[in-house]
Amino acid sequence: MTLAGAAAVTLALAGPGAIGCGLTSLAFGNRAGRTFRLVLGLGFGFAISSAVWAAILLLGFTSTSARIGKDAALLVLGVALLWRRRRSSAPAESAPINGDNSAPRWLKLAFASASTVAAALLVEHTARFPDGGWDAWMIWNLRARFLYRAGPAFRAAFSPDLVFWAHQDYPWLVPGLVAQGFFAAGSESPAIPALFAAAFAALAVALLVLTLRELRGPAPGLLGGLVLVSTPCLIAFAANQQSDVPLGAMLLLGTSTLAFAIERDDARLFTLAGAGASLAAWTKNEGALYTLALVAALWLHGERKRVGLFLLGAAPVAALFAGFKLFVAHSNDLTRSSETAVNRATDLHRWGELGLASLRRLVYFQNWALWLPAFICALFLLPRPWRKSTRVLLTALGLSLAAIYPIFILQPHPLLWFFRTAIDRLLIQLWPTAVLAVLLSLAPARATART
Amino acid sequence: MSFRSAGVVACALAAIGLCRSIWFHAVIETREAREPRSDVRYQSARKLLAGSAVAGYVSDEPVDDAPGEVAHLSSTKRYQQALYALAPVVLRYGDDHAPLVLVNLGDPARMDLVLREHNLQAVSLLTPGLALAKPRP
Repeated sequence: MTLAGAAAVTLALAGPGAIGCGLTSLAFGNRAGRTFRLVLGLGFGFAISSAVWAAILLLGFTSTSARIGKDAALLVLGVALLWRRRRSSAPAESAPINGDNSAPRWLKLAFASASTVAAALLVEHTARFPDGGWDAWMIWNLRARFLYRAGPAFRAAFSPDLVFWAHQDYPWLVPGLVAQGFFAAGSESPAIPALFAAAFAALAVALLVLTLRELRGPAPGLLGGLVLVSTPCLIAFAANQQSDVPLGAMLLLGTSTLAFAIERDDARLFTLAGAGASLAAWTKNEGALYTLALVAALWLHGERKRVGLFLLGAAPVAALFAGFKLFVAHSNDLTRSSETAVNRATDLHRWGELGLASLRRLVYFQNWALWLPAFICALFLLPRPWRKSTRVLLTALGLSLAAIYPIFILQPHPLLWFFRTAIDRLLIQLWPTAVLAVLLSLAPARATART
Repeated sequence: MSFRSAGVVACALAAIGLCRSIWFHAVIETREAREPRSDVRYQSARKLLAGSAVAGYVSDEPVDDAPGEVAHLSSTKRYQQALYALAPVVLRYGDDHAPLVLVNLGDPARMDLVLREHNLQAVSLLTPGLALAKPRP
């Protein structure tokens, strides 16, 4: 590798890292631990880097220098934010003051063993299917190849001449990252999308563990992580290199920050939470629905003054999403059909089929083991009243599901085929946030001396 | 429900979940033969199509090109794999008038028939069932 190449790779890693850590440091200050801020910052940083690259491509800046300039700009801005935070920061953060500072040894052992097994299975599946699952090469890695290979003609990735299975209307946070990985490595090694897929799964687990550790203590954190890594479809979907686990991780960026914002009553964190949720929208269309559901949940639970701050954080990526939809994405297969939507919506047989299929899915052992029935039991057994953070997150999840079911009914594909191919992917997107929401009310609150 | 009892239940459920994952990935999946990467079939076509923005695409079976019943899984998969391998070339399904047309068949024995049906002449026969063609003058 040449010196210039090494510098470009360093910049491609340092730029996103700096901007993410700068933003989270500015928003959190010393009110959260360093590891949490670092993991959250890396998640935000790489997602922002992909969104900014998409924006500059769509604005017509397709050259290599524009991409490297973007990384340099993110690095400078990130360092400036970190420097500003350092100058204005309070003395070194203090340790939590209540005694709940350690998890039982058996829980640590269980989490470590489960994570090791999950990682080994993920590697095994990836080695067997280096191009990922069907969706990966049909949509996500296909788009990454277009972005990497086409240069200024990258809009060919969204051509209406492609058969609709390429899903030209899907946003491209993950393909944007993979394509930038190809540029940085100077090759299209299948290891690059596989590494990003594993990183997103690791991000979801780490963020869940660290958020719960910050808000409730180490034991709830490890328990949350244990639930997530032992959910069978997490490993399968991550190894398949689809965008569902990344969407779950991006949604968790938003919802974990939102949980902090609600529990610490911090205006800046509502804005950062909005940014996180909007990055979920740039990962996959469903993310836009989840963002709107979070807005509605905040409104319903009396956080009306904070809704504006949340929307302010979401605005930049929402503008990118809207621009893409208006000027590039030509059509959506779910809205195409000759049959009228009214016929489908009023067909009671379809609703009955969907209801039965949903009940059967609750005990779909292959993908969920026994976690879905356990989740429903937990909702009944949770101590009442639920904490506000739990109420907001569960309301948002409930609203999301309530909106998804009419989409199932109205879409033009065969109902049960579409349901079976989509429902587990939708649920894994929501699953990390669902686990967070339950454990926030199940575990006792943790007092801290952080200011 | 106390947090401790929830923890014990969660550990038991986690063990069940992991056993399911181990059974699938380490036992069931290893019984299936590994397939070669789909890119291999299209390596020569990629070289010949380098620089082309668009190519036509025809096959001996229909590709499901509209939302609805998935009736032609193997031919639809073949189109998608060709697209994945040949990106950023846009493959126009059914277009046999493009300057270059990818002929991608499930049954290699039908090559002559398909070329005749679409009034194409082969530019290069690449692998069994795969050819690059152009419209006959």
